[in-house]
Amino acid sequence: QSIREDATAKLEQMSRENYAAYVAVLNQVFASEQADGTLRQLAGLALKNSLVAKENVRKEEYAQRWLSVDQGVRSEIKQAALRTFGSAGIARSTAPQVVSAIAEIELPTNQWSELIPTLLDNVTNQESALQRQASLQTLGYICESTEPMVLAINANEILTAVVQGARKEETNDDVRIEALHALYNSLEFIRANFDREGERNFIMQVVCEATQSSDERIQLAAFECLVRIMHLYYDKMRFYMEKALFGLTVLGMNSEHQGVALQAVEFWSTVCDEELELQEEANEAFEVGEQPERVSFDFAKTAAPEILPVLLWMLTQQEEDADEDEWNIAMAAGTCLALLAQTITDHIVPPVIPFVESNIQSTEWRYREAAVMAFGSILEGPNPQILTPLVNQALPTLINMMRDPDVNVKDTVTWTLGRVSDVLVECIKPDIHLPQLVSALVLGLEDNPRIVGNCCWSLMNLAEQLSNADDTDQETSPLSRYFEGVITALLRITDRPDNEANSRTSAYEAISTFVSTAAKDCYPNIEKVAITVLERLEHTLSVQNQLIGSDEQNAHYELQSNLLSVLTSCVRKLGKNISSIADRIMTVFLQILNSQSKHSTTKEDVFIGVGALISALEADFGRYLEPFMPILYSALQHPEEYQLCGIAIGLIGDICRALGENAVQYCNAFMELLVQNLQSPVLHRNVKPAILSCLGDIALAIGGQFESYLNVTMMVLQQAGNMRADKTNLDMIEYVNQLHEGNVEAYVGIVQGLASGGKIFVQPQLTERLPFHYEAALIAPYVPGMFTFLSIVAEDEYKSDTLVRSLVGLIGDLADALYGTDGKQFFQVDWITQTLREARSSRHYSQSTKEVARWAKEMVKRTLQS
Amino acid sequence: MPFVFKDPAAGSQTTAPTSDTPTDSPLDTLSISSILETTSLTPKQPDVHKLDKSPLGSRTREQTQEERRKKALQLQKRSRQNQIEYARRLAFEKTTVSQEDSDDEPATETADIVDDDMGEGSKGQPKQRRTRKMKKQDAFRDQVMFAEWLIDVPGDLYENWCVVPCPVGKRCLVISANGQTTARLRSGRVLNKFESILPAGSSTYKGNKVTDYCILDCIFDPVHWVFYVVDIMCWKGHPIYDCDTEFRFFWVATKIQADEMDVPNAGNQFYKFQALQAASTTELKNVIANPYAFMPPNVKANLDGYLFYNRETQYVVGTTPLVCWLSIDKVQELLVDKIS
Repeated sequence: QSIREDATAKLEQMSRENYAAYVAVLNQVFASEQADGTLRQLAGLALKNSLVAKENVRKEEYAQRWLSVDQGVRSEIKQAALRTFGSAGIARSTAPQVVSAIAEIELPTNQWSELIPTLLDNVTNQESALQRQASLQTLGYICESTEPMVLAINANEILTAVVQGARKEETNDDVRIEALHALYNSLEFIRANFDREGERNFIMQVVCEATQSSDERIQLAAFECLVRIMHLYYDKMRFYMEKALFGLTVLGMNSEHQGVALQAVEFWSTVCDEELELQEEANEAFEVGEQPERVSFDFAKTAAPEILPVLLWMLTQQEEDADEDEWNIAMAAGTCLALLAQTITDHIVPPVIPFVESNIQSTEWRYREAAVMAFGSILEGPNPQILTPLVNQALPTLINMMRDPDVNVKDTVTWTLGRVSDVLVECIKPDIHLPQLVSALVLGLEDNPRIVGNCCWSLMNLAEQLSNADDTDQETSPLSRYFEGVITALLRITDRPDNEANSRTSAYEAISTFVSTAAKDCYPNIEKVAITVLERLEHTLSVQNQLIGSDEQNAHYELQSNLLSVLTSCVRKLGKNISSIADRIMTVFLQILNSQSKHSTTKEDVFIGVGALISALEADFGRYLEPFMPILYSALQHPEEYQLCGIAIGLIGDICRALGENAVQYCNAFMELLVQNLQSPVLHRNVKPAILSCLGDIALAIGGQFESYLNVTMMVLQQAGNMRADKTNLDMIEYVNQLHEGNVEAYVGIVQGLASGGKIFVQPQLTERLPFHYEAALIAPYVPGMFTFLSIVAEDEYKSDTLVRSLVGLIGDLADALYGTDGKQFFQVDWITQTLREARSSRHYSQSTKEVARWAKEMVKRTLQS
Repeated sequence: MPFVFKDPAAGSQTTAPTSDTPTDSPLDTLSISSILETTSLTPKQPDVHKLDKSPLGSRTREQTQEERRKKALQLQKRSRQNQIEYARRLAFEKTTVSQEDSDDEPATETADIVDDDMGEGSKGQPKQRRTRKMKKQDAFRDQVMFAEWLIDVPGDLYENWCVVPCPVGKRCLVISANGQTTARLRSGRVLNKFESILPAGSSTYKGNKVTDYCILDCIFDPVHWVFYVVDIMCWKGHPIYDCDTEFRFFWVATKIQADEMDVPNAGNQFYKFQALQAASTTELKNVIANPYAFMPPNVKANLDGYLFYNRETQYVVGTTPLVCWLSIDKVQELLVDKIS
């Protein structure tokens, strides 16, 4: 044992200190035909693991490390790996991985250019099936992991070799499987070939033939290819659907091999997915009066009569004790049915309903479950007017089935009721169905954990859908009379010591939702919930020191998080009314925060709760600031825990809004920490936009007293404003949008905070009795910079709706602040008029953006007329 | 001191790859099982479409946490939005709201008088009837600067305060915008809608009806149809509420000129606007002795009491100790007895 540890440590050290030597040693073992097979395989894997990594940073680092190794050494390793293709031992299976790992690094840097030709040569000319198989496998790996651009120059040759290996003339099944896998991985970059009819026909023919192989593995690989082809090349599929795919896939669904059947179902799920997207595109094009670029061929609608009976039959093929995570035919069929319902809408109803009706009362649980599953799957898609009478009719039966003896049936029933609550809540008549429904769901809370989870989900959906989202302060709601009963039942579940199948967390989530959607007549009950939860939280603190082992600790922290989440909902709902227990709440918050827990998610939850408390108590929160501030500062000093740091930054904003000018005493510290975080190379970038907005919050709160921070703030904003996104990188586009939004929000805070009531340059029309507006004058030097920034953002075609809303708002604020001054010239430019017009009229923008834009337009107009 | 907006991952000073995360390090390469676990020998199973049949049960702790974070962020964003749109919104009464209001709301509601007394807190506050329109009116609710009752004479009465004698009437916020004038009670309830001589307050107004809006703090005398202007928040689109008292009163005096605003001149404009006058507290004795001399000429309403303004306060919405109300029946007890 100690020898092994010693060896491990030595190797470890070597990999760090002398990588070249390390890989050379590994290679020696790997390449040696005399060495033990397992050992060789191991050496190969270690070699491969030293080349590839999942995270981008490390990947880059590994690549550089490899490339810095001497040419000769590298070349030797590469040759050895290629030689191993022909080896008889099990090391052979590792060689393709090693080769493709090296290729992934070297090909993009234009090295090892002879590799692909060598592999292709192996595939076409090698007698040895092992060699061909390994070469194809390597090609497959390379196609999977390497940028398609890099391989494009070899696309023709790769395709030729791969398709050749996949043909039915290839007698070695192993070779054929590898060829199909490689084909699967190369489908994306052979677009040019696929565009040419001749080549396409050939590829399709080879794949279709492979579905008829007697080897189940080949069938499976071929169906996987078909799914991917349908996804990538839907537009080209019309001909092949009519000729072959239609029949092949229906046949595949009936295959006795589960894997093949699953892929055949997946094929149709993919068809639906594509057609749904095409419908979306068509709708969008229709709205602007254009022709869609691509059209749906309605394969799903055409095929429905053929595939529906098979799908419905598949629904009855449940596993006896299906493990949730395990994928099976019945689940795949349910998925496909749901997608089909969305795609062909009303047409799904007539064929499915008879199946439901004739099976829902069956004595065999599989048929009852399948009937309910079918019904639940088609609730989204068809016109609600068609579904409503059916759901009305079915509801009493479904509610009754909550008492079904079979747990699988009950599980699906609760899921279906949850879906009804979610998408067809108007079918649930408060006086007719609600009493039975709620009591059935409450009864279900006594059942097994999976059913509990779905009952909680149903209750949450009911609460969300039956409350009026626009009116958060309703006097009463249809659920008011059940509030107490439901909460009591949910609290009873949460008393259970375990969290099997997430049931306890689900119950707490349901309580949170019930609280946050409750009407006013439930407020007294919410106060009770708050106190109960608070007591439980206090209790968790008292047992904190008795926890043993990490499992117990994790469970403990999760429970605290759940309790905190409910408490936060209560605080948000009750607002000022929480005052009477605010001291107790804050005490618990501080205790948790001070308990040295290493668990940062619990801290996050406390911080979120503190935020709610600040907003509820406003200035009255002031008395807790003294003990809380050190904790807040500490969180701001730990950028490596960026989620917590981000929430802490949000709290600064909450504090500023609640305290207004009185926040000034903390602003030195705030500013210092914020600037530090902006300079931090460790802090996750996602937090940075929030810091910018936060600067605006501070300026807005303390107005003229922001003067001493103005300089540094403007430097920050200018630098952030210079960030541009690479237009091919969606993540980056989104990030820069957020950054700019933060930037604009900061400017808004500054302009509103400092210039409000005063005009930025001079006030010619007022007498000397008007005090010279000192604060407004402070901003004056920065105004041209703001306009430059705004113009750049305005011309960015990728700007988001919320960014535009902030942007036009700032234009309006500036127009107000520059009214009657020499700043009028800033508005006499096309981009402002254009941006405001676009924001008012484009359908891409939300109603609230349009409103702000209308306001801004008037402000600008007035300033231009001044 | 550069600010960093790039992903920390893209920075050059990344940590050494070995020690912190062991998964990819060669350290465990000697255990066969671990290496086989982390390295798949078969190609990845392609992802398939999956219907989630236990939406809550399958949620991971991270997902739940992410939901909570998002929710908190959303709420914070909304608070910020509310705050920065506050200034914009107050001035810009949405036309849609005003139309709906006028449809179903009587022009006057006498029962609201109690609620619109000058001071805060001494009388009952019937609030329960205000449910239906609550939300829409919220923007206008409590927008008047309300006085606290004067209980004690401030020590700096003579240095830092001024006094405004007020006639009997309803305190209201008058907003002229979009060619219309709206008077709202403290509750936000619309007291009256009409065309007035105020800028932007009538359909015949010659200037820009949208941007020349005004917001005035008034006392309405329903008997004589006069709005007595106590204070001013916005004039022709210029916000003035954060100027100090003296400037605002100066503004009232210059803009609500006698002979100009108190003469209804055309069509529907029946309502007069008269500026109340602020007197220096050094003249307090004279004011108390003869209050009508310190009120606009031709005031027909009776004296209700006095508002004391701290000279330096900005216009603060809601109740503030920097403005105090002294009703006429308390003058003797609280003021005359103490200052003499």
